Amino acid sequence: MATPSEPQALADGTPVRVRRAFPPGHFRTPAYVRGKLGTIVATCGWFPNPEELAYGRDGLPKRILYRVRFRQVDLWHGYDGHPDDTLDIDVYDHWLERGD
Amino acid sequence: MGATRVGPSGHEAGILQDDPSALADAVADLVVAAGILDRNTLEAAVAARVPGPPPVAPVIVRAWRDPEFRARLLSDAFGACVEAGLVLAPTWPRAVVLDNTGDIHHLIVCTLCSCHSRPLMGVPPAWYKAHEYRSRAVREPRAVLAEFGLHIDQARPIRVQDASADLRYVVLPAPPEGWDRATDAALATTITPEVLLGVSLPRLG
Repeated sequence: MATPSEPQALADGTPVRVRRAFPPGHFRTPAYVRGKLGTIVATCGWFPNPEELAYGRDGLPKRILYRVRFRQVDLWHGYDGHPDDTLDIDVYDHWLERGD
Repeated sequence: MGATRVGPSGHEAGILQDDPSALADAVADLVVAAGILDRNTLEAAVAARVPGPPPVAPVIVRAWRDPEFRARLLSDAFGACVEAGLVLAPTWPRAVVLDNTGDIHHLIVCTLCSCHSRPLMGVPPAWYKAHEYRSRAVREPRAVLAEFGLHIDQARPIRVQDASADLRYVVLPAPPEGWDRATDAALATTITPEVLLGVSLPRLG
């Protein structure tokens, strides 16, 4: 996994797992995706870290924001929609570990 | 003397919870009477928060008419919207347009707060900010859509977009039946915030 200061780009199609972490303070990774396995589908760009911005700091170094796709059946026990129903969410790189 | 009721905050409940609009009117009167704001300023500020036609509506209509523009809107929403005449500040959060004209139906939610593209969609509906929508849309999108009156075929996949980070999303809906015989102005009125969030389909009156 990339170190916090030097994120390394993950290619589209890379399987990733969202870190199962419960840090104090502000963060934008909802509980329902933590610990779940998904796939990178896009790189959204570099953005100041919202966990730093929330406390009036500069948010630097910027983080890479990825769009990660999950199968709904992998997120919710007993999900009864279409088996190909998916959920996309944008996750900052320091919340992602390689999932393969 | 009536029994004292206590609200969830532990404070006594009463007129403040029974009639929010009376509370708003009273506060507005006090603000004007105290000389903090004049009534015109206050009314302009309130008007800016009332849902109205989404600014992106004419852009969506153009995308229905012009396949090349549609492709640009889906690949570079900011560039296409500026090209179509919307005034957008480069510093506003980047918006992405999701294609609902194909095999997948997209539904937009922000589970962490109520992130949305104000420059494209305008003021969001109150339900978009409600805890119930934010928690249920990700978990049971088909049931939520059915409650909006939108029944997605079981054979059509749904993709929920949780817009809880730095990007903002709106959908490009499929045009309503009869769109090729309708005027641009009539088509623009079919684009509502509900349509742009994926809980409703455009419909010509």
